[in-house]
Amino acid sequence: MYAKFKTDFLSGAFLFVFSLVIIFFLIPKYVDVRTFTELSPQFFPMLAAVTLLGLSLLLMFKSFKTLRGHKEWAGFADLLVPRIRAAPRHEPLLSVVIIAAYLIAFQYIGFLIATPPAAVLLMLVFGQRRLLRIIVISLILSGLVYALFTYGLKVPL
Amino acid sequence: MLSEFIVGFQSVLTFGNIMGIFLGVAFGVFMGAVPGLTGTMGIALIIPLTYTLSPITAFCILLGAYKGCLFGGAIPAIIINTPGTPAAAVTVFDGFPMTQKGQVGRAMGIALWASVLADAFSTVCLIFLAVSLARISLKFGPPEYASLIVFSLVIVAGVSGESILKGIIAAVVGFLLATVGLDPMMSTPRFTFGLPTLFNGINMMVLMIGLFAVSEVLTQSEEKGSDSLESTSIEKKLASWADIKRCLPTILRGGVIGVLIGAIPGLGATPAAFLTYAETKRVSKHPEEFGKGAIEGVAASESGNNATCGGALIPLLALGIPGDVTTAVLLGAFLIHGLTPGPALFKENLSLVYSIFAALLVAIVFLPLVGRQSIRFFSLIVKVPKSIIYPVAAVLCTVGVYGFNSSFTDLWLMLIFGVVAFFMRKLGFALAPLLIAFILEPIGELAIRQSLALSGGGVSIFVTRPISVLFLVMAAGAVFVLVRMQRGKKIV
Repeated sequence: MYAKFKTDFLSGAFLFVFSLVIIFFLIPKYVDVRTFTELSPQFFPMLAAVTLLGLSLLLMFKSFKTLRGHKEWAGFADLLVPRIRAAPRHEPLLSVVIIAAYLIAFQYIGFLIATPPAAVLLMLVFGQRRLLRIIVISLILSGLVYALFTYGLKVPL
Repeated sequence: MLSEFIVGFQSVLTFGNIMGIFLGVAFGVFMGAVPGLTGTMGIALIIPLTYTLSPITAFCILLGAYKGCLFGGAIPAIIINTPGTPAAAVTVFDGFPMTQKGQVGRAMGIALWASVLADAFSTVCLIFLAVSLARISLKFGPPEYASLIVFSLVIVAGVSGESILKGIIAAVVGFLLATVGLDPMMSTPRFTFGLPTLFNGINMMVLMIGLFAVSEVLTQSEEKGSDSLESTSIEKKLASWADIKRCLPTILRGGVIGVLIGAIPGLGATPAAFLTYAETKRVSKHPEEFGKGAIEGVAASESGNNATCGGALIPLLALGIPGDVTTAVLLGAFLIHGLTPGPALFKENLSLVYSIFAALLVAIVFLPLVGRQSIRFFSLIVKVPKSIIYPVAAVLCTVGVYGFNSSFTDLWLMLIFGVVAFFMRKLGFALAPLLIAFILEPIGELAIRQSLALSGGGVSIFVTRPISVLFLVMAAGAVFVLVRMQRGKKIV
């Protein structure tokens, strides 16, 4: 209940700020207004951003409406009461870091060297613990994909 | 006509051509089934290989690949919640939930038979109605495109999952992302941040793979007991005759919508899949089941997208105008073989046209054969531990995205979209509306601006053309139906 309120409210707030950034910063700076047609290049991005602004406000409003209707609602002060939450899992963050490192390694070292360690690390994050299986799969995967793309699809890696 | 058909079949029914169709279908299924590879890429890659072959053999292979990839995209959509092609993005709605219930065989079976039957329907339409439907597609100008896109965007809310408001927000974000690149009329950069790689906008496959595949990898990494796939009981049985019979009206609906959408140049399979799904959900007696593993949902998406195969060939063969990106690549194949699609093709190379029709009909026979074996093969993936399948998927997606433009900017965008989509899923935002709006925005924006340029700024152009008015009335009707559907349901 409170979790849903918080996620909806915070989502709405984030989108509200995001749309303001688009309207007042990104569009004026990165979209030209000059045109010889009826609609300028800014029209559709502005339309989307203004719509997003309105929808984000609606989302924030609806999140409060949901909360108020609940019988356990004890007022806004109740939101300040700390609640016990489960610790967030770190695997998604680890996966993002590994993939980011893989992209950097892919760019500067090359596919064949970057891929096996990345595959190994990802399998470990996902809970695979059989070392031989991890190593064999990462090597076969790298080799097969390299052969498929380089020789089969003529995409140099 | 009958004599031309007989000659066409005689040309196609040779060992070489039949093998060509079989290998083409198999190759297309593979290209569609691997996230990061696409049928369009596959066809583009094999066109040079067909240069030394006869035109009939070349088109047997290429058309087989075209048919195969449209079905192939459903396989990863159902198994690992990652569409293999953009058109299969709608298949994940119900395909993956069916897999989670242990019905992976049933889901893939209905995807296969919906694809085959809708494809057969569209091929028959192509053969008998090519010229008539091509004349209708010629009546589509910018106002008609604009109204059709408005209608499509209105009903995107119908596939938004639990929260319509969040679905609309996702669609608006997709709409905004689609404006990145060069302005379609002025060619001035929008949100390119000085990066030349963004001048062509965000690559749709990069967005799709990031949204669905990478976010799925991140989501799955969070699950406790990641290695638990092997313990899921898997129903091996494919869809039964009762399932197919139950889905026949849906498949027919998808066939009609797919042919009509496919015949309109520039739209492609994704809008067809999406419109069929939305319409099927609307008329269903149990719309609440959609998005939770409704077999009709899978049938709707697959029939809609596969029926565009025949539909997209209509303007290509009859007018020389490609119906979608893949037929645009096929146009290249025609030119390489010294052929010019269009009215002249029907006059000067009628035998080739009927050979193409015959090849398409023979491919319909091979699709279920190849498809069933593919299902058996890819179903084994469900037994592979998550701790292996998702890291492998991550690598394949990375390499697949790199394969489009050899661009590392694309790779970083893929990762960024994956992270954003991960949080979107956690916060209850549907991803498909974002992708659908992203695909539709460029078509709609260009159409609206061209219409206004034609009319000198007057909006009456949208309400004085009958087809445009029809779509606007349908859009208004869709809004009315959606509002009524929401009366008994919270919007958030």
